[in-house]
Amino acid sequence: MKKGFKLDKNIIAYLASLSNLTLNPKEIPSLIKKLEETREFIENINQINTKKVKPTEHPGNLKNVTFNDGDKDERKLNEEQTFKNTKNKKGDYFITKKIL
Amino acid sequence: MKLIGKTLTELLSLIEKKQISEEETTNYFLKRALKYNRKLNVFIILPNKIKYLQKGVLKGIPIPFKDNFLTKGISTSASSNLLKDFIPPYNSTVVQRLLDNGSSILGKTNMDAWAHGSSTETSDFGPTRNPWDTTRSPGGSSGGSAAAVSAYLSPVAIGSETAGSVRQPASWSGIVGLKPTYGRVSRYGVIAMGSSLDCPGVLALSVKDSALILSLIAGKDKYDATTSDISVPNYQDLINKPKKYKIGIPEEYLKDTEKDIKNNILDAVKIYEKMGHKIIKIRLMSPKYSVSVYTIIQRAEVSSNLSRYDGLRYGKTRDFFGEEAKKRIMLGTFTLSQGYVDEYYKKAQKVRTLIIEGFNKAFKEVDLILAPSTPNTAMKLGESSKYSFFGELMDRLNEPSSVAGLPGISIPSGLDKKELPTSMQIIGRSFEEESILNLAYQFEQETNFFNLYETLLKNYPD
Repeated sequence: MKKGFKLDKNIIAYLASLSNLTLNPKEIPSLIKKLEETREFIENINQINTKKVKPTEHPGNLKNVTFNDGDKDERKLNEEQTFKNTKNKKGDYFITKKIL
Repeated sequence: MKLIGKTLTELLSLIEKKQISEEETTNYFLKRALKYNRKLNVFIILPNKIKYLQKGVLKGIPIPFKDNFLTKGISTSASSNLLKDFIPPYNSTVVQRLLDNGSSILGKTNMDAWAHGSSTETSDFGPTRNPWDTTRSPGGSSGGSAAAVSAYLSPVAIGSETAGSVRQPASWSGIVGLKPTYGRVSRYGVIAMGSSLDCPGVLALSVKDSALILSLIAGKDKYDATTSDISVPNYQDLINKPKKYKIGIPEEYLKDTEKDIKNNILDAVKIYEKMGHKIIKIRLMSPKYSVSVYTIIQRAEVSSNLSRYDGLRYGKTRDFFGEEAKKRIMLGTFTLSQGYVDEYYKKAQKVRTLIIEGFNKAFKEVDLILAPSTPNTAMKLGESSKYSFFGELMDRLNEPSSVAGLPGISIPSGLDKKELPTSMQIIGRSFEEESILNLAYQFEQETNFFNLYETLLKNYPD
């Protein structure tokens, strides 16, 4: 990290847009302060030499776990269950915002 | 017959002998829950009547579930306004397994919203109060489940832990908190937070009850690919055969821990020594690095998991996220974003490897590790807002073993000068829950946890 790097208003606005969050202008100063404090703290991992260390994605180190073909899948929801919790549907479609 | 303070195992034996009925037990706990919920704010959802009394190992005894476990037809919100109206169409595996074994649902317990926090104060439905001192937090995020057991609204409750969310509230509430190995218990139907860390757990009055519940919920689940197919032993039988262990004490974990907590652990060490266990001082990586590794990895997984809440298929829009969730999503987005991912996320994954290697090395020398569960006893409600990442600091002694996926159990070790419960935790090798339960049970049998429950329950009569 470049010396003097700090999370600022512009980075926060960019992160909010990436995260699909709308921020209230009033909450931004406190968010910057708290996020920056956390960021400064977590920098301490740079004190540890990891040159020859492989990353761990997962404590179990699992590989290629798949659902067996032909297994009974009791998870399937019927149409009524699928749409029960939505307020935005038309026929048997969910309504979304235009994405293109 | 007076039921107050009886463990689940004792109640099951009384039902077996027909000294009490299933219906009597169910109504007893429902009555206590309704009586004390206003004071403690333990439950978000509490039925007026529990209809379904079933047979099976658990003989109809109702169990409280943390509100991030999906319950078919019963609202599940993870204590957030965003999911306030969400009615799950299916049960999580843990709920289903306990229902299949004859339990019923006592209610859904309060938690930090999305399990983000260690005090229940980030809940959108108000904080839960600690039965030991109602001006204090019961800890979190499984604070409702911990307070339910502590005030004897139920002898056991289900919680979940990503790093500390079972052990820390168990510690602050003076009860037993078991966090199994990652992959021992299915996460299917548990609202996801940090998917490489999340683990369902048990809060209970006694070690034996924790062992019983773990036997019922553990094991392979075809709907959670990360569950292990290692066979599930009968934990309840195994704890009846006391074993002698080599116990490691990591000095790094005793630094920055309150004096009374430290002293009570040193007393416990003497008790264990007297029993014939061997105590060995060990070195582990300082927990301050685990705080960072955990913060980075968990926030990254949070930002990904919480992206599914778009208000389209279920739930309200993303404007209903509270401040804590927003903070976590944004920090996770930052550490995963182009230009920063190597420096934070990948670096944290590498240090995670070193933490795991450190434990592996220690476990060549010792069988189990004994350490404080928390650096301090229960804090006052409101204190958490003074910290930028309160949860991580409170859980700093749980984060290393969570990051490594190891099992741990927090048990009471006495009281501090403020008359609040202190605790210690036993950490074991992966999938060796029987050993941590065995050593914890030996301490319980020797001390009866200093009769802490009996003391507290005088304030919570029937």
